Amino acid sequence: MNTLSLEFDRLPSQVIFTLGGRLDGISASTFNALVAEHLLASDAHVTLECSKLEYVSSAGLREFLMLAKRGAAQGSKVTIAGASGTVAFALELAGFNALFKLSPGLVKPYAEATSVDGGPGFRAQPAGLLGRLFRGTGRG
Amino acid sequence: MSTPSAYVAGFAKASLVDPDLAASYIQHTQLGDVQADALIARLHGDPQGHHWIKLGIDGDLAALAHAPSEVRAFFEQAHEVPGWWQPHDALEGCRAFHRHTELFLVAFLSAVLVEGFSTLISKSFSITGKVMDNGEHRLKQNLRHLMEIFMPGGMEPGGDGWKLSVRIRLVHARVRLLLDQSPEWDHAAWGTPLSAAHIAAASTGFSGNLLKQAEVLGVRLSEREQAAFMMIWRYSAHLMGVVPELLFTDKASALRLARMAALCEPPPSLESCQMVHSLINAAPVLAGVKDQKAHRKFTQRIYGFSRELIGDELANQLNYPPRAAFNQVGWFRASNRVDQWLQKVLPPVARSRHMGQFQLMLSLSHYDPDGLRYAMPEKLHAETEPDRR
Repeated sequence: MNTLSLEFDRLPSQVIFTLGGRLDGISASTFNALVAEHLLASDAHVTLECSKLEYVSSAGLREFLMLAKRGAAQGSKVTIAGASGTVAFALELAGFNALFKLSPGLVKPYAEATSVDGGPGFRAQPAGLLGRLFRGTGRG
Repeated sequence: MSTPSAYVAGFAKASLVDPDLAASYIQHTQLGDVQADALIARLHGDPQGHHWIKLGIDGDLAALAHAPSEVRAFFEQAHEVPGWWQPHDALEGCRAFHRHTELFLVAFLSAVLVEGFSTLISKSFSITGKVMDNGEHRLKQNLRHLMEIFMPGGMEPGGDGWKLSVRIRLVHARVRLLLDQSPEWDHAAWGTPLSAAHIAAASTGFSGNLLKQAEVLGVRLSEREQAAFMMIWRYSAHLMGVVPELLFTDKASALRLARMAALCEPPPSLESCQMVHSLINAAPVLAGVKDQKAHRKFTQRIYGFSRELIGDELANQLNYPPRAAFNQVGWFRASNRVDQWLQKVLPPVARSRHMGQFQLMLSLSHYDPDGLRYAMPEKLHAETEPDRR
C-alpha cells in the first residue's frame, strides 16, 4: 500500500504542503506533526498541494479541518490545490468547498522555480497557478 | 444440531413464515467464523500475534510469508475482492450517505442499535461489559466505522473502512473465544457467542433497516443510490465475516433476514434493556450535553423518536417511557422535507449543510491520536482490560 509522502516549502508568509499517496487513519498523525512543526502564526496563506494524493479518509479530512480552524483563528487562508479523483469527491462530500478555497489545477513544480535568497527552505514563487492563488497577497 | 433452548419458540414461529431461512438462521446460531476463529486460536498467547495482524490489515501480504498458515489463509481471503463489488458505483452510495448524514445518524442511534441490542447478542456485550462500560467510546467507534465505509475509496483494500471492517471481524473472533471459554456463557441455551447468525442479523440492521428507518425520517434515495448504499454495506458485512448463506444482496433480502432474525430471537432480555437504556443515556454525553435538565430533555426526545421508529411492542418490552402525545417523527420528517427543498433551490444552503453534517460526524467519531490500532482484547471483562484506546 502506498503510504503518505509529505514535502513542505516556504515562501515569505506562505507555506505549501505537498501531499502524495494516502492520508488515512495511520498517516494523519504524521501530517499533523509536520503542520505543527512548520506552520507559523505569520503565515497568511497555506496551500495543500494534493495532485498526487490518492486517498483521504475522514481522519485526513479532520486534519484539513483543524488546519482551517487554526488558519481562521490566526487570519490566514487555506487553499487545497490540485485534488482529483476520490480525493476531490471526498472534499465535495464533506462540504469543504464552503470552508476552503478549492483550486482544481496543479501547483507548478518547484524544481522549475528560480531560487532567490530567502534563507533555508525559501523558494521563489513560481509562475502559473500558484501566482494566481496568491494574487492580492503581495506576492501575485 | 439441536436448537438452542432460547430459540425454540421463535424458530417455531419463524418456520411458519419461511422454513428454509429460519432453519438456516438457527443453524448459524451455533456457528462462529471458521477462518477468523482459526486465526485467533492460533495467535492466542503468541507474542507475534499483533505484528501479524497489523501486517495483514495494512496489506503487506508478502511480509506474511513466514506467518502461521491460519493467518495467511485469513488475509489472502480478506484481500480477495468479490466480483459484485463495483467501486465506481459505490460513489453514489457515498454521496447519498453524506447528503443525509444527520438523518442516518438519528435512525442509527434511535432504531438500528436499539433493535440490534434487542437480540441475544446483548448477552455477549453484557458479559464482556464492552458496551456498558465506556458506552460513549464504543458508540464513537461504531460511528467512525460508519463514516469510513462511506468515504470515497474507503472500502478499497487498504482504505480505512476496509481496515476497520476486518478489524471488527477479528475483535468479534477474539471475544467469541473468550466467551466460549467462560463459564458465564450458556451454550445449550444461547448457542455460540457472537454467532454467525448474530453477525449477519446485525449487518442487516446496519444496512437495510438503517435505510428503511432513515426513509421514515424523510430520506429519499434513488434506486441507484439505494443499490450502492446496500453494496457498500454488503462488502463491509462480507469483510466482517458474514457467511455467504446469510449475506444479503440488496435491501429486500436484508429486510427479509432482519424479519427472520426478529422472529427467531427470544424477547428482549434484561441485558437488552440495560444495553438500550445505557445507549440512549450515552447519546447526550456524546453530543456534549452536560446540563442535567438538558440531558433529561435530550433522552426523552430520543425515547420518543425511538418508540415511534421501533414500534410500541418492542418499546414496551424494553421498558420505554410512555408514548408522547406529540408525533415527533411526523414533525421531524416534514421539517426535513422542507430543509431538503431549501437545499435543492439554494445551493449555498446545501453546501453549508454538508459541511455542518460532516463536522458533526467528525466530532462524534473516535480518532485515536496514535492512528488506527489493531490490538485485540486480552480479557473477557472490560473492567479488567488495560485501556486500549
